[in-house]
Amino acid sequence: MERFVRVTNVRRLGALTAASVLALGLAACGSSNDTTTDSAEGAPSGGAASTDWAAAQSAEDGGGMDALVTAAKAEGTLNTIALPDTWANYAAIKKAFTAKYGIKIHDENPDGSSGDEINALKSTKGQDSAPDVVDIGNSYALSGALEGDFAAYKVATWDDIPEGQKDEGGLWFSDYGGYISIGCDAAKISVPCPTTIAELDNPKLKGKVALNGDPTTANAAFNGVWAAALANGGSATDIQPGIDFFKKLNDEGIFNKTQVSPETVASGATPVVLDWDYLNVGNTAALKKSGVTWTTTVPADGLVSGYYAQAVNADAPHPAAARLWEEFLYSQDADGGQNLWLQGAARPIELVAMEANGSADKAADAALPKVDDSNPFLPTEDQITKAKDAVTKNWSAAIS
Amino acid sequence: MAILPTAIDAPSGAGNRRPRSRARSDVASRTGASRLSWLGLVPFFVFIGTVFLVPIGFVVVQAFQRTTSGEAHRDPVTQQFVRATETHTTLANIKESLEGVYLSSLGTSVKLSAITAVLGAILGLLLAYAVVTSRGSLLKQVVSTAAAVTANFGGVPLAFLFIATLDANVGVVTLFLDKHFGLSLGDDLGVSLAGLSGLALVYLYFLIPLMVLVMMPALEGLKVQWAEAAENLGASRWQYWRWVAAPVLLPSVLGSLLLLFCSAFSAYATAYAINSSAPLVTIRISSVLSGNVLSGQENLGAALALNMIVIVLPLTVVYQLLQRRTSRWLA
Amino acid sequence: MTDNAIARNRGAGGTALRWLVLTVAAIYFIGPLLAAISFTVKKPGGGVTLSAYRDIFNQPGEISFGHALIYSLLIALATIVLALALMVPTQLLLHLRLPRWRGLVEVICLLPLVFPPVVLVVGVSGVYRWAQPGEDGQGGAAFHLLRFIRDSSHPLLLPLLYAVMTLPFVYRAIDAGLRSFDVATLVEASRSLGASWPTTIGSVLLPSLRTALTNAAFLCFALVMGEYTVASILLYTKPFPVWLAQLPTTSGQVRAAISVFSLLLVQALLLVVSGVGTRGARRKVASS
Repeated sequence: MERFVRVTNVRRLGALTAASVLALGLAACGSSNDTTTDSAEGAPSGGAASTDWAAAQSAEDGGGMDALVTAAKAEGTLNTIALPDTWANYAAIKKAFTAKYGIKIHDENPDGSSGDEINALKSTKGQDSAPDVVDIGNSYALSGALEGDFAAYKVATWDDIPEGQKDEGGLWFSDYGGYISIGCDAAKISVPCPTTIAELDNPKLKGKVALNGDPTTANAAFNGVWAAALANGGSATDIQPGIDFFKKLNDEGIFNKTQVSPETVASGATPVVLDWDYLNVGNTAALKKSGVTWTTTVPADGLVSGYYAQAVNADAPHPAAARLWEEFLYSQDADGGQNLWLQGAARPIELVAMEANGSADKAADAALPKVDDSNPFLPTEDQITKAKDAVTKNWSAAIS
Repeated sequence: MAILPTAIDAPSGAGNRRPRSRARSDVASRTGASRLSWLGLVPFFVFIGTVFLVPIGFVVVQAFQRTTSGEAHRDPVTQQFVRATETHTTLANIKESLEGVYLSSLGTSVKLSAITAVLGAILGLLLAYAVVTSRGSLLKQVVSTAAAVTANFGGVPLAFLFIATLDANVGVVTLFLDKHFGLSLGDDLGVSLAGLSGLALVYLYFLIPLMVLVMMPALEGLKVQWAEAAENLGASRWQYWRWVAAPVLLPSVLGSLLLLFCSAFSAYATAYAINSSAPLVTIRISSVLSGNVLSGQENLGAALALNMIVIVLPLTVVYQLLQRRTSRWLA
Repeated sequence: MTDNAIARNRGAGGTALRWLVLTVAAIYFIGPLLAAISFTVKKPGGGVTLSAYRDIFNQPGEISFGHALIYSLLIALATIVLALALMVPTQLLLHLRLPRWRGLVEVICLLPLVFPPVVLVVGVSGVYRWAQPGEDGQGGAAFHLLRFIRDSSHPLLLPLLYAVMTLPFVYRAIDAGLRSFDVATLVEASRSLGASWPTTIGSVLLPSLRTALTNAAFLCFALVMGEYTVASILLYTKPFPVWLAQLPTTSGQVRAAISVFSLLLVQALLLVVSGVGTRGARRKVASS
C-alpha cells in the first residue's frame, strides 16, 4: 500500500516537473516574444510624477498639458478595454493617438460588455493589465461613480459637455452617442427598405427583421424596443407598447431572433437590423467589400438617442496616459477625438458647441443620418430603471 | 434466461465485488494502510478546492448578500462619493431568482437540457457503436479527433453553420428545397431555427460527439468473447444486448447522460447566437453578470447560478442510486 | 483485433445499420460545415475564391499567427498534463482502494460543467478582488501569488482554470475506461507475477486505458484551442482562439472563414498528434 502511494507520488512528481518545465517554457516564449510593453512596475509606485497624475483632477492640476504629455509618454502604454475597432471609428482613434504621442494602446477584450469592464476594473487593482479607461453605458457610469471605481478628471473642454451628460465632480462624462436606426440590405428583401418602425410590420419581411441582441443584455436592443414603444404610443414611462410590437412581429414570423453578426448580415440572414446609427453606418464600408449595399435610416416615429460615458480608473496603472487619452478624445482639433467620432457617424457629445465654434468637421456633420429631434426623448434614470424591469419581466414570455 | 460471462473475463461490475473483498483482506493484513489511502486524494482536493471551490464559494456567498447604501455625499476635495453601505445576509436574491421569468427560464432550461441529453445519448451511443465496430483505425482516429473538436464547438461559429444551412431566407437547404421542390422549409416541413426545437437541433451538434468520446472506451470494453459465448449458448442478439452488454454499459451511459445534461444546461454562447431571446436561465445569468443593460444585479446572478447547482445535485443523487442498483443487478 | 472480430461476427443487418448511422452522422455533421464553407468562398458576382482565408493572415496587429498558436499549444499541453496527472492516479486510487469516495469525487468533478463559464470567471474575479492591495498599495502574499499566475507572459491561471473546466470530461472518459476492463484483477495478476508498481501502471494499466486517455487529452486540447470567453474576460489577448476572434476584420466572409479555419486547424493538429500516437503503438506491438 505504501508502495502504491509512493509510486503515485513519483508519477505525480514527474508530472509536476513536466508542468513546471512547461510553465518555464511559457515564460520564456512569452518574454522573448512579448512585443507589448507593459511596464513591469505598472503600479504607480514609481517617482513622484506618476502618483501626482493619479490624483490630478485636470491637466492644470498636474502641471499643464505639456507635463501631462511628457508623463504619459514616459508611461508608454495605455490599457483599454472593450473598444472594438469597428465601433464608432475606434480603429482610427486608437491609430491617431498612437501616431500623435507614440503611446502604444493595449486593447483587451474588445467584445466585452460594460459589465465586463466594471468587473475588470474592480478585480485588477494592482495588476499591470488593469484597464486605464472605460467606455460604458450610462447606468454603469452612475453606479461605478457611487462605488468609487473612477478617478475625478475634467478635460480641457469640460464646459462644452452639456449639463446632465457628466458627473459634476468629473467622475464620468458622456462621450458619443447616436439614434436607433434601421439598417437595411435592399438587395435581400423584396420590398423597399423600411424607413419607419411602422414599416417593419410587413409580412413580406418574414424572418428578416432583427434587433442587435437581447434587450436585457444589449443596450442597442433595449433602446430599439423603446423606439418601437414610442412609435406605438409609448412614452418614457411606458415601454410595454414596444414589447407588444415585437410580440406581434414575432407572431407573424417577421422577427428574426438569431444574433446579428457580420456573417449573418453579409449572408443575408438578417437583412434588416435595428441598431445604433453609428454602428449601422460604420459597417457600410466593410459590407460594401462583401458586395452588400447597406443603408441606414433613423425612423422618425421612434426617435431614441443614447450616449455612452468615459471614465478613468481610480487605480489606473498608467494614470498620465489615461488622462492624456481623455484629453485626446475630447479635443476639438480637426484630428482630435471628437471629430474622429463624428467621422465615424457617432455624434460627439460636444457637437453642439463645435458646430457653434466651427471646429466640427463639416463633411462628416453633413453625412450624419438626418434627424429632426426637436423634442428629444430624455427619460430619467428612474424611468430607465423601471423600463428595464418591465422588459426583464415581460420580454421573454412575449417573444417565445 | 440470464447469460453470465465467465469468471475469467468478468465485466468490471461483477468483477469488482470479488477483488474488493480480497482487497479488504489484503489491506487488513497490512494494518493501517487503508486508513492512509485517502491521503492519495489530497492533491485532488487541494487542486479542486483552491482553483474551483473557492471561486465558486465567493459566488455562492454573493447569492446570499445584498448591499444597501445610505445617501451619498460628495467629498469636495476628492470629488468621490462617500456613503454608508451595509452588506447583509438575506434570502431576497434566492426568492427573486425563483419568481416570474427567472423561474420559467430555469424550467425551460431543464426541459431543453433533459430532452437534448437523452437524444444526444441515444444517437451518440449509436454512432459510437458504429465507429467502434468498424474495421480500420483511420475512421476511429478521424471520429475521435473530430468529436473532440466538435464537442467544444459553439457560439456564433456553430450558429452560423446552421444559419448557412437552415436559415429561413438564405439557408442552403432552404433555397434548394424551394428551387427544386417548391417546398418551404419552415412552412411545409416545419423545420426552423426559431424556437426550442431549432435550438435542440444545434445543441446535438456538440452533445453527440461528447457522448461518442466518453462512451468509446466503454464500448471497446465489450469483449468479443462475450458475444461469441452468448451466441454459442444460443442467445439472440437482443438477449445478448439486454443481459450482457447493457448491464455493463449502463453505469457509463448513466454517467454520460448526466454529463450531457450538464453540458446542455450550461450552454450559453450557442443558445444566444441562435436565439438571443431564448427563455433560458444561462441567458438571464449572462445578462446580469456580463451584460450592457442591467447593472448592479450581480447578487441575483449569483443566486441564479446557485439555483443551477441546486437543480443538478439531486440529479447526481438519483444517478448514484441508479448506479448502486445496476451494480447489484450484475450479481 | 477485437474490433475486427466483432465486425466479422456481425451479420448483414448489422453492417447495413452501421452504414446508415455513419451516413446520417456524416450528413448532419459535415453538411452544415460545407454550407458555411460555400459561403466563405463565394465571390460577389459569381465564382469561387479563397481570399477570405488569405485575409486571416493579412490582418494588422502585433501578435502573429505563429505566436498565438504556440502560446495556446503550450497552454493546452500544460492543461493536459495537469488534468491527466491529477485524475489518473486519483481515479485509480478511487477505483482500487477507495470506492466509497467515488460518489463525492464524481459529483465534485461534475460541478464545473453545471453553470456557464462566466460564473467561474466572476468567482475568480471575486477572489482577485478579495486579495487586492489595500489603501497603501501593498498586497499580501495571496495578492502576489495571484498576480504572478495571471501575468500574460506566463499565464499559469489559464491551465489551472482550463483543467478545472475539462475535469467533467476527463473524469467521465477515464471512468469509462476503468470500467471497461477488470482493473483489480489485472493489477493483482501483474503484482503477483512480480511486477513493481511503476511497471504495473506503465505497462499494464495505461495501455488498457489508451482510448480513454487519448480521448480525454483530445477534449482538453480542443477546449483550450477553442476557448474564448474565459480568456478574454480575464483580459488575455495572446491565446490563439482569442487572437482569432479579435482579428480586426468586419467582413462577414472572413469571420465565417475564421470559424471554419479554427475548426479545421485544431482537427488537423489532433489528427497529426493521434497519428503519431498510433504509429508508436503499432511499432510497440510489432516489436513485442
